[in-house]
Amino acid sequence: MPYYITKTGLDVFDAARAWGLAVVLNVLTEDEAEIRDAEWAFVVDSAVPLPNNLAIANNAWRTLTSEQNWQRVFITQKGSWLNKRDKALSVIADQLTTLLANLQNPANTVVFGEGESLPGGLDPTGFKGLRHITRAQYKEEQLKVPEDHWALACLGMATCGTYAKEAGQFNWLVLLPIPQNTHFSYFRDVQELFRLLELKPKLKYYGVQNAAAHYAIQLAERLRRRAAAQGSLQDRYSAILYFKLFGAGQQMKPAQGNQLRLEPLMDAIARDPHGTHSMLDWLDYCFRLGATEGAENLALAATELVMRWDLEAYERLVRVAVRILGREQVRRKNPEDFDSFLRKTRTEAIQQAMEVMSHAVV
Amino acid sequence: MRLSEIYQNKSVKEFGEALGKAIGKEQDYTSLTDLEFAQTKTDFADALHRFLRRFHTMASKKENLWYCPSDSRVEELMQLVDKVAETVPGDDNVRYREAIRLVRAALISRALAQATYLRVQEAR
Repeated sequence: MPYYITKTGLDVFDAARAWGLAVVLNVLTEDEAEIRDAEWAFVVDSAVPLPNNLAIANNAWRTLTSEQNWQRVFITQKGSWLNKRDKALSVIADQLTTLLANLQNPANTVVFGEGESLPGGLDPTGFKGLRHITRAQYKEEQLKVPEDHWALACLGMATCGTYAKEAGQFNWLVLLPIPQNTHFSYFRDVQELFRLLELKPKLKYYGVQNAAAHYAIQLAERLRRRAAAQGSLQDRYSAILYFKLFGAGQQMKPAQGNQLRLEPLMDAIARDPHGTHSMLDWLDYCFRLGATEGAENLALAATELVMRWDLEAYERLVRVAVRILGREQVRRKNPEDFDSFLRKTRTEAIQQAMEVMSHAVV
Repeated sequence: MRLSEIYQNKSVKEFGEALGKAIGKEQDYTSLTDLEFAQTKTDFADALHRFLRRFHTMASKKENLWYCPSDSRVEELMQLVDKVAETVPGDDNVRYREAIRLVRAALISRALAQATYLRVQEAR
């Protein structure tokens, strides 16, 4: 029986609810759930029918309380995040029957204005002062969403969202892939897929776009590996939603955010899961070497290519990459990544990048 | 015409590899800048000819003679630019600018692969 997460226009809130519902169905059935993007809604379905007794308080459900991300979802609530976490989980457990019955109706809607405040750590639109012009006065209300949908979104973000702290700063980078056609078998498996690779020393990113683009390459490589092992690409993601939270005095505030389209990379992996390896590896090292002082333009050019996949961005990347070869100071500062970058820059990698660029067709 | 098709072109391969050799072995970034600034067909042909002259000079100083692309390769490259321009919409200026960008991107890509290959070999 399919369940419908009708889209509201709040991208992170919508995607997080879809992930949250997949977690609930997965815990209830102890089997796979499927998420499909049907443009107007996310359609979530379980592989096996739901049990007659909708008791969710099993061991798998209890392990969800230990997720570190809960604190980050409620980062703007500071000390009260534990209460919020418990409330979100109890709302789902208590209202499960009505919630699922409501979501079975394709015409279900989310009415704003009553219920729980959307936390800023979950969706930047939850912050005041972003939805309307506030002029000189700061009078905008909190964005309130129905309690059951709020709880689903918090659960989805806590289990499937990625929160990464920026190197040497108090800023958080928040990432959430949007499922296009995805199977959800266990939330730990999804977390492993979605984690941002912790490199030592931690990479220095030049802005949130740079970090999101590197994350896109890392995610694409993990999906590629699975596709190569399984013979075809089973799970597709349409985009990555990203935004940054920064500490402004006593509060966290949202900075830039956007979404990065993943279709060009997904199509390339689907076409040739083995062949795309060299390109993803090359781009990964463009980001790694780009984090070195003196090679910043390499990271920025790679970011532009991953964001746009057009001829202009591609041309810039190859021009910058050629010039990096002659920068001895970059080699001295980061010899390991420099040598790896040289080894990874191969004809196959370059040709694969050209294949991804559908915009290069004139 | 797709960039990957242009990349496979024989004259692009030969010229790009020569450019890669010049950059990887002799740090000839002048030719690269020269090509990057070319906007018109004449500028591009001039930049290719100038590179070829520099490359001949570099090659003549080497004990192991380098293979040099012939002048006819420049002609072939310019014919390729014409062919690509035919597939681009817009007036002549736009068509040739786009065609030059595509051919240049393919050339630099070849040069990048060749230059890194030489640097890896050198390190070994």
